[in-house]
Amino acid sequence: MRSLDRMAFAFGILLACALSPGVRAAAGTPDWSGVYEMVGDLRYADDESRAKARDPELTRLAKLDALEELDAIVKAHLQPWATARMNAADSSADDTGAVCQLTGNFRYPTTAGGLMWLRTPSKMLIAWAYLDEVGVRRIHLTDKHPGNLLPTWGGHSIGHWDGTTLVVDTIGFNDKSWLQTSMQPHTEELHVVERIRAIDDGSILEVLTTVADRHALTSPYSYTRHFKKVKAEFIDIESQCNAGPGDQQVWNYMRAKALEMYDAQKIDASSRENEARK
Amino acid sequence: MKHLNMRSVAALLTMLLLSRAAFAQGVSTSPSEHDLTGVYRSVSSERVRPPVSRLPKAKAEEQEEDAWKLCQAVGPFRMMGMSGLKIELVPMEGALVMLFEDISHGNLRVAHLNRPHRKGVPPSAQGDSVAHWEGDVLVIDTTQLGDRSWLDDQGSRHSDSLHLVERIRPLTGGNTLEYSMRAEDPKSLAEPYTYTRYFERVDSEIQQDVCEIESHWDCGDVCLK
Repeated sequence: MRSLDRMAFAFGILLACALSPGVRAAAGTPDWSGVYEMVGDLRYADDESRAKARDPELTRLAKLDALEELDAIVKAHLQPWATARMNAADSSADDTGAVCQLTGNFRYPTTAGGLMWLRTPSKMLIAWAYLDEVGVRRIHLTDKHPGNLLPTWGGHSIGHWDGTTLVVDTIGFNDKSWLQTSMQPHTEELHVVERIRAIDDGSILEVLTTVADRHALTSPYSYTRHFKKVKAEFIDIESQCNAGPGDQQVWNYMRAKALEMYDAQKIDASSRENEARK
Repeated sequence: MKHLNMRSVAALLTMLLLSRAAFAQGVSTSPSEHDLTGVYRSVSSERVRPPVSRLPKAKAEEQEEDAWKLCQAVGPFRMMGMSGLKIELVPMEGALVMLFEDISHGNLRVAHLNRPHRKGVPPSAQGDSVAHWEGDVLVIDTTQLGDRSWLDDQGSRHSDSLHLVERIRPLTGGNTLEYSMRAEDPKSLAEPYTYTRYFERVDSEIQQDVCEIESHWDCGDVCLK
């Protein structure tokens, strides 16, 4: 009879666990759902996170996140043609972010800002605060990339668990984005591996990124970023592309270019239609 | 037997208390009771939504440049009215996140559950969305929208008084969503604007929403209805 009691108690525990959203979401793997801010850039964090960010360890991590350091690392790994391309780039006209195009996965997410980590049964999603510059990343929990990937700004990411570390493999990039702010180029051969794990009792996500590109880099390089979990709500920060022209000169250039191309396409489409009618 | 009953009752009480507490957490902080997780596409047979009936003054404020063509956010009213709309709903603790394909330029929507609208924040393209469940219907209320976005692709401007109320009801076991929109803006709309459309669950992914200037012109004016 005692075994019956124990069984009933155990059943109660199991049922409680099954009905608890947090436990159900975990499904045997770490659940990192939430809002995070990059350590060292806590402009939008709550007071508690700001206070914690002042502690010596987090300050040390923030220093490791220095943008200039990463920029120099990338420069040191460029092949000669890539260095020449970087030196020839126009800091305004060739800066995709300045003309309201995407910046890709490399510049904004390595320098500042927050992210929202989401999960579904089949994938992880990372939404960045400056969404129109980066977009929403999707990490598919599978072991193979699809064949014949079309090159895109964000590439195609797959992930698997190595213990409590999520290993993310991304390929399928186009060659339109820059690796860092000095406009270091990459090719479609770009291959990125990220090892993501929770540290500091789960309050910080550590992301170790390794970047390889046999056509643009002399050898792979790595860097680490830390993101602190915050209680604050996710803020979809509007960049100049949403809120209005921050730099009138760049804005005018972008607008004129866009409308010119649009008109050209319309004229071309109209011509094709007229030709078809004939 | 008496001994058994006391122990069994205690065990069962423990079971019920624990499971009830756990279930209450789900009701109060997450949409798990009505799990809308999934990718949905608007049904192909839907009727085109009615034209916006604007106030004369609002009509006169038309602007020439379409935010969508310039890779800017178009706002939730226009996003939700897109023909052939494909969305992904992802619940998280205290919120429902909506992801879009081809229309958002990377912008997503976050509807915060069971909290009032924020105060003292400036208007934005996406506004402030809060949500709650009314039975099996998720009601999303959006305010604090800026006045730079359009109500359609014809340049109909709205004001910063635009107020959206959306109602999402799962049907057919969650494989269909009934979606209704009610928009009020006494400064630009002649009357409240309402429509209902339906979405069906699809076994596919949302594609990366890339706003490249070159890529927009292929579909031109027919992309948005």
